[in-house]
Amino acid sequence: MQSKMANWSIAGVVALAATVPSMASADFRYEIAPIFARYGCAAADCHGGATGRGGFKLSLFATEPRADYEAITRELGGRRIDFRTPTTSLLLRKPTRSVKHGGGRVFDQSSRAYRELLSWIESGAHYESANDDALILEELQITQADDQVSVTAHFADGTHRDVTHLAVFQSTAPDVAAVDENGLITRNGPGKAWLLARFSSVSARTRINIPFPGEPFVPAKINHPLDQAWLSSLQEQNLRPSPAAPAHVLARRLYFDLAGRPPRPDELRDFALQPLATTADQLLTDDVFVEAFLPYVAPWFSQPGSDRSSARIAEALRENEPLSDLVGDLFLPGGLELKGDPRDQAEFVGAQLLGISIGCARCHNHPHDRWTQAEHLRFSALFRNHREGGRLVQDPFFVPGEGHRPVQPALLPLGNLAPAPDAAPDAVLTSFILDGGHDLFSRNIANRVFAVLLGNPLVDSPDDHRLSNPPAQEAMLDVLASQFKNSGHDLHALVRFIVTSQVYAMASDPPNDRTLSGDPALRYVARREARPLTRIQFERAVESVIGITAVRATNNSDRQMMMQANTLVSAPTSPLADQLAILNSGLIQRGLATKGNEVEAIFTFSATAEQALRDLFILTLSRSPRAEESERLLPEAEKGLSDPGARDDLATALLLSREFGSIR
Amino acid sequence: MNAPLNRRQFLATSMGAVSFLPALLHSAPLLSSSKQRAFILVWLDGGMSHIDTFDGKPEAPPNIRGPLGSIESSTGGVFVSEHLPKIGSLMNQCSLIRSITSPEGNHDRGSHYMLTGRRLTPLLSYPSFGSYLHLDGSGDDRVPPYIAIPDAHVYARQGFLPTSRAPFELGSAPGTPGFRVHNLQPPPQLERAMKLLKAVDQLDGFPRSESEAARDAALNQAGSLSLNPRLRELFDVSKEDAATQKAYGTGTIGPSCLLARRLIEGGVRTVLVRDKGWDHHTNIQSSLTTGFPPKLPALDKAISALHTDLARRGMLENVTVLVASEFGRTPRINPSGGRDHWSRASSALLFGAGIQQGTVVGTTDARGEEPIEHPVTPADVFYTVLSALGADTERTLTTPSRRPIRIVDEEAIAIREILTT
Repeated sequence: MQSKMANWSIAGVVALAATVPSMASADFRYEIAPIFARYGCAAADCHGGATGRGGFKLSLFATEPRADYEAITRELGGRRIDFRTPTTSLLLRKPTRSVKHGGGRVFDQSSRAYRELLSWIESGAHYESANDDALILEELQITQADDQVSVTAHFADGTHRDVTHLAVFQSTAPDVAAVDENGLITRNGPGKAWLLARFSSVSARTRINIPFPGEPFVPAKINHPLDQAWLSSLQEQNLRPSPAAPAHVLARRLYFDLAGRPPRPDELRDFALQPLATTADQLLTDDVFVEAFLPYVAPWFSQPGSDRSSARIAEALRENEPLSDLVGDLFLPGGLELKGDPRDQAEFVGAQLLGISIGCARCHNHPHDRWTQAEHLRFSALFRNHREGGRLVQDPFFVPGEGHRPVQPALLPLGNLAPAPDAAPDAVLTSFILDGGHDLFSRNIANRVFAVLLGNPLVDSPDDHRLSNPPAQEAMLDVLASQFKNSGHDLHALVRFIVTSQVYAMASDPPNDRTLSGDPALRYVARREARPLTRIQFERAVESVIGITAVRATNNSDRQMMMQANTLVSAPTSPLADQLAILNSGLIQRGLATKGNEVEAIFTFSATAEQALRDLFILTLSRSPRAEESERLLPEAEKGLSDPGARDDLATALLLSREFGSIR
Repeated sequence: MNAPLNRRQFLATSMGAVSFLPALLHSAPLLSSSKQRAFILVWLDGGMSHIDTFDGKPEAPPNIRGPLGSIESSTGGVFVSEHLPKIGSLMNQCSLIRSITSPEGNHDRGSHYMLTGRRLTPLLSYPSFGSYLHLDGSGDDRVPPYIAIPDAHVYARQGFLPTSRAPFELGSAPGTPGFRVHNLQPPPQLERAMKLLKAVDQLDGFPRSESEAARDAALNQAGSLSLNPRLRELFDVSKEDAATQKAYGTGTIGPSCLLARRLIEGGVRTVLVRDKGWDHHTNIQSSLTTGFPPKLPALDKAISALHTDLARRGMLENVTVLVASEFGRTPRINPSGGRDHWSRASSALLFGAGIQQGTVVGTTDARGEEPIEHPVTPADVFYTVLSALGADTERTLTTPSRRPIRIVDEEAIAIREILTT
């Protein structure tokens, strides 16, 4: 359940052209406007579009009742409302299609919507009801009984009323549980779904879990808090997790994630002999971790195009500074420093640091998202020259037009603790992000780090945590976020926490050869997904395996690293161009032609083809060949003992193989 | 991401993954059997001066009409630059829009608007023509559906669509010395290694995820493009006869247009020819008429040769061509003898499949400052071109955050006058 203050200004009573009988009337805000949202009249492809439809414009999702009221009662000389013969009002004849209506018939004369609109017009079409001119919607309560969702609105004066017939419903997973316009639930298949209800500009949600069929899954006892949350969630869903991956797969995974390359044969032996946590700690304190993680972390703390920040972020990773320190740096002159349009800055902070997309509200209020245009604008105003004089800027920001007041800067309403009145804006923003009475920063970073290590985030997409975009397993995100927060935003600790879990260790193999997509196990974190190496990862892996570091011209200047950061995360290239480079850039061939490379060493020092093949497999794929592989490839290895060309062909084939090219 | 699209793509890629060797043996079909037509976009990067090209103002004062003369084209009342005589004589076989107007006078924002039909927002980047067209497969996996010569503008990419929809960028343009497609030439050992690779991957079994399958498909396509001499030759304009090469002209825009035609013949569905250097803030006269080669004569040769060549090969039925730019340039010549950004009026030329012949849309005022008749937006042009190509203009795509987005802007109106259907 989620609540939010409705924050419309209460305007004065609007005088209407006609004199009307005075009687108890419906409240436009809470009884009439929701009808337009409920029946789709105020949807983007209807009257809610930027220019309305057929000359009649409503606010998108009817979230601006004052403007909608004006449109209905004032435009067209008031012809939408007919007080003399209310039933001939256009507002009633259009949706019932008594006159031509592009949107067809929306409801008929026997419907409750029709009767309520009619009675509202008959009683004078007022904005507020007779005695309720301070009625403020405070909270929406959603309840589930059997197959019916009910919605109750709670108002500031302590009253409440059932608004189920006026709410708009939506399911996050209709294939699991669908909800119709009356709040009736249809259960369609096993899984989890959140049912959302929106009324006025407030949303609330409730969860439905339909367990998977089969023998009850009873997990073994386990100590790791992430695994506890994971397994109890899966138990509730009766979903069995994938078994643990074989040790060599796990070793490759860990080395690729924390070192950006596969393990060398000696490292593979150490990995088998010591606890995984020991290997993880060795890698975390090595520079390879900085190189492997910078491409992911850099975009969280630097606006696109600000390449000089990567040195600062690399430093923070090297020293394992609390990531919260980087937040403070964003608002310091000479630090990471945000720049550009204040709205871009505000949206960057929202998306990257808090994981919320306030940007939709730049143009319109979002259904099932809480941010309003006014909130977006006020928050953006905070970023306008916010350092000037060390105080919150009170200058006009956007002056909407003559006679309007300039926008006053304000924090997003996130249950903020009130900032000290004289605090510098840097400090206000930093404390708002880190501990403004919410844990969005920790949830956001935890979700992003989880995505780096597991291949998929819990909240997908990570910039867009909202009611209607729930985590795949909410208990897991809770655990990760609180671990990260309690550790003082310690990245190493979070990474170690995740890689030592069973979640991290599970296998990526589909249950059968062809279940690549649509596998419920993937949707609920009961399996992980194999992911191909990026081109940069591939090139590093090849260099490391062949044992030649000079093959690719490397220059770890900050600029270079940032370029790599950009390529790795959002490659402005195509998969075909990447594969052409992998095949034809000559990287592998130059490496194999270099004297003293690892492949040459194996074939020089192996007594038998079996030994050469085995060592080549361990070098490239971190495992011994299987029987059928030996059978097929031994003749090639045999040739390779005397023919460097055949040897290099075999090595090339293994380096280009699907298995080498993936983190599984 | 769109689930049905994914599934279809997955099927396409996994079928392609089974083997690329049989594909090597087939010969390229002349044109794909798809209902959707092929598209060549000649993008004049930087902002083509409308007054100095397709919207001549011979009656305007010298500081407006500029130092270059205009001639009347084969479509009466349409004056084109005296340096575009060949295009001028073909004008009655093309459609011309002279009334494109937009509020976006910045290169990035203007380009995004023209190339995606959408205003730029920081929230979402939209797919451009070539990434959207043939979204459900072009029926030919051996060649990439969308190629950019030499590269794609940052907003001529896949936007929120999967990276498999990204343009394949050649890296350089034909006509430049030592032109070759980046990483297309395989090392001598590759063919042997690829045979072994096939064995290794078969022993590994099936791909473990959709992205592994997509990687397989891209690797197979890369393998077939590099190892099949017939496919590699698609990129080689020197295989054309001398007269054809000569007709397209020297420099890069001519040979690029010729390569575009070859690629379309070989099964590519969209080719973007990006001709840089149209941002003429200074000395517009010399920039357009002198240089190596001069902009306008090179454009004249390239576009007229493309039209003639496509017509001769019967390809105008199946290929639509758009010549466009992010905006026009200021009607008044500035003190440096150049023209600055002007988004209130610009022109675009279209011909080929789905496009009327000899139709002119819109007129600008006497000074070329803004449309006085039939103003259209870049979104309208985008919609119109998709319509001419027979693409689905009603389709709603789903963004990664599961927002439904219509490929065509809700407010856009197709310019019916220039469409044949």
